[in-house]
Amino acid sequence: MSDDSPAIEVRGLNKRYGKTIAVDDLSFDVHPGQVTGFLGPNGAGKSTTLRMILGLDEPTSGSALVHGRPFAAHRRPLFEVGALLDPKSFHPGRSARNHLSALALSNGIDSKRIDAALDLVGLTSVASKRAGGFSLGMGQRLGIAAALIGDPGILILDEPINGLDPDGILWVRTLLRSLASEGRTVLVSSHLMSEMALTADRLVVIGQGRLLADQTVEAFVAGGGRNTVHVRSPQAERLAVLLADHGVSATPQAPDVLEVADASTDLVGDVAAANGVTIHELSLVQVTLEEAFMELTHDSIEYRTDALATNSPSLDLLSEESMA
Amino acid sequence: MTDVALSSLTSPPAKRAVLPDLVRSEWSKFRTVRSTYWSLLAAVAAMIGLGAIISAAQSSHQAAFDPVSTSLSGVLLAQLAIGVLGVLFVTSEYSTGMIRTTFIAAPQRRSVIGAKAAVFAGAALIVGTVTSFVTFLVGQSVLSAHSVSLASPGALRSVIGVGLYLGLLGIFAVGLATIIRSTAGAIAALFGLILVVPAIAQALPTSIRDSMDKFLPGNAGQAIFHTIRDTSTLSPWAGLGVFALYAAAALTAGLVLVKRRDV
Repeated sequence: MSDDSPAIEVRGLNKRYGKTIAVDDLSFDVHPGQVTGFLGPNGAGKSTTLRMILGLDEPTSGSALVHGRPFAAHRRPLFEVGALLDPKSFHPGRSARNHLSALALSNGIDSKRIDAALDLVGLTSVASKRAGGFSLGMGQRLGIAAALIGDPGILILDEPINGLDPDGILWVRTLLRSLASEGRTVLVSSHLMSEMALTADRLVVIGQGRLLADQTVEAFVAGGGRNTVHVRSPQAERLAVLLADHGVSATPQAPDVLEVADASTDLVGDVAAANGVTIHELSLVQVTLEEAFMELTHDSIEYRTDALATNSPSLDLLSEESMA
Repeated sequence: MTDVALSSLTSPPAKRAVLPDLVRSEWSKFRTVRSTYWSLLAAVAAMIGLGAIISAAQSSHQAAFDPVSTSLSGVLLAQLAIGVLGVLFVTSEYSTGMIRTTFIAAPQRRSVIGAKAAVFAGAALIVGTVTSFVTFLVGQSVLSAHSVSLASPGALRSVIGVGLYLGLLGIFAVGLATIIRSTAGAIAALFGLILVVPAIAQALPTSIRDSMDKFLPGNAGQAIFHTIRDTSTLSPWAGLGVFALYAAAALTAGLVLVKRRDV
C-alpha cells in the first residue's frame, strides 16, 4: 500500500436511531504518517462514527473501509488496527497481563508482545493486579496497550486523554506523534480543540453528525474565522463611517471602541491618518484555534453557553463525554 | 516509558484457522477471573454435600426409592452455580464494555460466541462428570444398606448423564445470555424455564399437563439421571435429546442476533 492511499475511507456514512440522526452523510479519508484529529462537540457523532469504522455498529447507509475492506472482513484485525473506545473496556476482575493475553491469543500474537506493550505504557509493575482497581488514567494506559498489542499500522483512539493528568496528556501526545512519525495512521477523537492543535496534523471536524471541515490545522485556523482589528478612538463614530467608505464594516463595542472585521491594522491606521482621526489604541485580534472551532461548530452545538449560564452548576457534568 | 520502540514487527500467522485461536482466548478469559473458581467450587460442594445429606435422610426411610438419583440429587442445586457462571461468561462482557474489545479483536462474532459455548460446555461437562462420580460414590457409602454399584442398571448412565446435563445446561446458558445480554435477565430466563415453568404447569388441567410436562427443559433433561421411570417422563436419552434441542435453539438464536446487533 503506497503512502498516499488512505488507510481509512469513510463514504456517505449515515446512522439513524429512529428519528434521531447521529451521523449524516459523512465522508472523509484518514492518511498514514499523520495524526488526524477527529473533532466535534459532545454528541456530534464522533464515537458512533468510530464504532461504525470498527464494525461494531452497522451503518444505516454508506460505508467505512479500513485498508480497503470493511473492518469485519479482517481475519486477525489486531495486526492492522488497534483501538481504544472506552477507558474501561476490560473485565475488572482480570489482571492487566491476562487481559492482554486473551487479546493476543485471539489473534495469534506472540506472547512476547504482552510484556512489550505493558512496558510501553508503564504498567509492568501492576501487570498482575486486578484491572478493576486501576485509576482512570491507568485504565486508559491499559486500553492503549491493548490497542498496540498487534503492532498495528492504524490506531483509532476515542478521547484518549480523558481523565489523564498533565503528565499523562503529554505522554499520550508524544506517543501519538511518535506513532505517526513511524508512518502509522493515527485517528484520535477529542472535543478539546486546544489539545488537537498540539497533537494533530490534520483535522476532521463534525457537528450534529455532519462534516464541517476536513483540512490541515494551519488551513483550519486561517480559514476558520476572520481576524479582527480592535480600535480605540475618541472619534470612533467618524472612523466607522470612513471605514465604511473603504468597504470595511466596523462594529461599535463601546462609545470609543470599534471592532473592525476582515481588515488589517495598516488599513485602519492609514484611513485614520489620512482623515486626521486620533487613534489611542490599535491592535490585531487573532482568531485562536479554539475560537475558530467555536465559530464553526456554533450552529451545530446542541446546547448553547448562554442557555447554560443560568444553569452553571451542571457545567462539569456536561463536559464529560456521554457514554454511548 | 516514552520510548516507542515497537521494534519486532509482528505478522499474522499465515493461513491458520481463526476458531482455535478464539477458543484459546476464551479459555484464557474463563480461567483468569475468580468468579469461575468460586462458582465451580460452589457447584462441586453443592453436588457432593447435598447428595450426601439427602442420601442420609433417605436411608432411614423404609419406602422404596431410587438410590442412584437420590445420591445425585445435589445436581439440582449445583446447576444454579453452573447456570449463573455460564450466563456471566457472556453478560459480564456486555456489562463491562469488554465485548467491544472482544469484537474489535475478533469481528467473527458468531465464532466468538461459538468458542465461548464450547469452552464453557467443555468445562461444565468435565467438572460435572468428575464430580458426579465422586458424588455417586459418597452417596452410595452413606446409603450403605440400600446402596447399589455402578454396574447396576442405569447407574453408569445416570452418573455420566449428570455431566452431560450440566454441559448442555452450559450451552443453554451461553445461548440465552447472548440473546438477552443482561445478567439479571438471562439468569431469570434460564431458571424461569428450568425451575419456574414446571411449577406454573402444575396449575394446568391434568390432561394438558401430563402431555406437556415431560417436554419442559428441566424435566426432559433430568430424565437422564433417573433409574426409576414413570409414564410422566421421557426415556433418559430421549429426554436428554429434547434438552439438547432447547440448548441448540437458544444458541442458534443467540448466534443470529449477535451478528445483527450493534454493540
